[in-house]
Amino acid sequence: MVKKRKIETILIIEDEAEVRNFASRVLELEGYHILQAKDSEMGVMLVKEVPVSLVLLDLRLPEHNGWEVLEQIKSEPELSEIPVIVFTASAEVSPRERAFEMGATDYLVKPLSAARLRETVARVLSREK
Amino acid sequence: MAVISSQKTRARDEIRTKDQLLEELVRMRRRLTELEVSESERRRVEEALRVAERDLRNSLDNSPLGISIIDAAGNTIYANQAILDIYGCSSVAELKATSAMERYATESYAEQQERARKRGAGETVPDSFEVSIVRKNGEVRHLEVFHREIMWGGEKQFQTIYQDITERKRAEEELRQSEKKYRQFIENALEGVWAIDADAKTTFVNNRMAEMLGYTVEEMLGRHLFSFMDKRGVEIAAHNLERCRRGTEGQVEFEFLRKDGMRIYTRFSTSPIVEDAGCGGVLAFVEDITERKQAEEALKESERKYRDLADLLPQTAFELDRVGNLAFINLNSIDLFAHTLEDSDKGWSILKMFVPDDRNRVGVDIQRVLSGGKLDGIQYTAQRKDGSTFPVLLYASPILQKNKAVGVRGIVVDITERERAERKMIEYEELNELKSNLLSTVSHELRTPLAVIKGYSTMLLDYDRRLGPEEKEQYLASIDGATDRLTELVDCLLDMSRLEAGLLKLEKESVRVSELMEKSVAEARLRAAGHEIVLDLRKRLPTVTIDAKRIRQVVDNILDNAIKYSEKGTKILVQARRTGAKLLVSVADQGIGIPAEEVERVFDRMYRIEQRLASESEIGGVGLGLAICKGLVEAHGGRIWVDSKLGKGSTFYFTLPIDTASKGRRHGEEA
Repeated sequence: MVKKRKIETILIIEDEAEVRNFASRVLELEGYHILQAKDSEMGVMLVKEVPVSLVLLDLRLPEHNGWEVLEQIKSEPELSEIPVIVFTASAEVSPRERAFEMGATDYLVKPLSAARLRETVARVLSREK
Repeated sequence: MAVISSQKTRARDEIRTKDQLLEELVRMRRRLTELEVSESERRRVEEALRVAERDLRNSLDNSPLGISIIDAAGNTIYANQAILDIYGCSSVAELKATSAMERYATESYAEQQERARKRGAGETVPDSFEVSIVRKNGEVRHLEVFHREIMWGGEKQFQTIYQDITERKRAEEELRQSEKKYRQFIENALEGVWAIDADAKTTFVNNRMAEMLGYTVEEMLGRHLFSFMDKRGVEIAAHNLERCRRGTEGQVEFEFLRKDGMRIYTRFSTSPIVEDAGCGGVLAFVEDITERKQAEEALKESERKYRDLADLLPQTAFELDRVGNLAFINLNSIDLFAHTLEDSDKGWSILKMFVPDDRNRVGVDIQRVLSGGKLDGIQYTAQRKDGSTFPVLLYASPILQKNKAVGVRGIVVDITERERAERKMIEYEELNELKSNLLSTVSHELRTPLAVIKGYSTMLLDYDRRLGPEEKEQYLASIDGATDRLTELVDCLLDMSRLEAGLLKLEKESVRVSELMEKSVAEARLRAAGHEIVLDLRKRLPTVTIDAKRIRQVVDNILDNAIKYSEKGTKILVQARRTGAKLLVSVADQGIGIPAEEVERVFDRMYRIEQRLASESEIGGVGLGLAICKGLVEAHGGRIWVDSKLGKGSTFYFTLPIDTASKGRRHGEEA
């Protein structure tokens, strides 16, 4: 949209195809470059291989390894600066707090609207600059 | 005493003999003067006289009694050797040189003076008395003195005979002291002392005895033994007293009523009093054993209390002797384990309370307790007399006497209820965990379609103009699909809760199973074109009365699972046949199978096999599908189960009862 802005790459790690599609499409429409991963393995691989500006991470990946992905990103010096927005399945406070403790930048609670998604992403990215 | 009396008598006899001798002497002198006529006669007589005098003198000098002749002035005219010995003087001169005041002890001197005064005044003085004299060496001796007037040398003199009674006095004093000591001892004894005569009248009681009964000694003297008792006491006493009299019983117990009416218990240690007249009286040492009796009563009461408590105990309380035989068991347990009360008395073994398989172990453990060990809740299986069994814990500790185990005391606790409660608790905890898992899963499963609806609908709203018509249609279809998933999920949850609450209503009708199966398989083939679904139906399947929609739901669910957990291109065999009074439906796949350890759990709520092969948008991921199937089949009176081999595939079976009418027709056909 804004010409002077460099195109940012956002990695979405989400196992639910339709949620993943939705997030990707909204952010594409917002002018971001999107990478999709349907599981943690693929997500970790991509974040290591491709320089990304932001990671959207579903904490409730099968076998609970969304948390492991978060831990891995935050524990590797080269990756730890990448902001991570987590999807939490519930409105419960404790997983959210735990995510913040582990280094998450922000969180989004499902179900979420297109507006909420793009605003949160925009806010996090502008703050990073 | 007898010896002393005979000495006295002898002394008197001697005095008489001496008097006679003296009279004889005087007579002879008189005759001598008459017979002076003849010189030779005179010499002969004089000679005889000399002999008589010498004999007499000898007799006086050597008498063991002290003999002296004293004139009216108190001067010693004659004293024999015994007197000198008594005073410790070596000669009469020495004796004479000692004044009366020196010779007599102070008291005796005063008495002597008094006697002299009385004699002087012409008063009568006893001619026998005792004096205490002081010997030369200062020793005091007691003498018995006989004093009388005699003619000596033709004049009135006093003859005094002394007998040393010092030893006798000492013996008498000792006896008196000893008597005093014993009397004091008895008077003040801590035990009561009671003597009765042949008529059982009180002849003596000491202070303690009187005090024991609340009387004074004087009040008790002369009273009959029984007068201190009530009727009950007398009954016991009458019997015991006779035995005491005969001396056959040393110790007996008597009950008395005190003066204040209180009952006391006593123990009499008795000995019969034997007198010349025969036996009759009884002397007793009496001990107040009321407190001991009361303590014994209290102990008995306490024992009774514990026995009563043991009998009330809803568990088994027992005691074993040192060889392990049953010594005590509470009533409750006799009812439970022994056939009759007698069984428990004749060597009924505690081992019989346990199942034969456990008896060895119980025996070993009991031995352990007998050697000082302790059982702190060892679990065994007990066996009632009716043969039924139940789990118990055995607690036992040794009965110690002087640090040695002389038996075993223990409790057998029935833990049936506890185990049931524990199982319930575990079930409850599992259920709780299940509920929380269910909630979490359901919330996830609800949220995913909601996320789709929310996401796509906001996209359609926000980016309407930038989205192509095909894309829009795709999003609307996704929203539609998500709505269906939500509906199904809600139905599923409702079914489950209805089944759980027993509120599911079956709309039963007579249904041809073949038709139902054909429809279900046909639709499944449409959903899963990649699988080879084969339907094998036996001819002439009986009709069943079922809720067709619900059984269809079961078949669909099982078929969907078969599709979900097996690879495309594999075969799924669906069969229905009759077995006995039941219709058996089976669905066999060649899929991943179920691990053996999980087979039992597949029908539990929330069971879900790892969804590696399950497609992402698959429905029913809540894990309630098979649980609902089970509930539905069981609600129809059927059974559902699975055979599975990991990596080879699973076969699900369920049965439905056949209509009785249909069964009848079949019997008809066969006949």
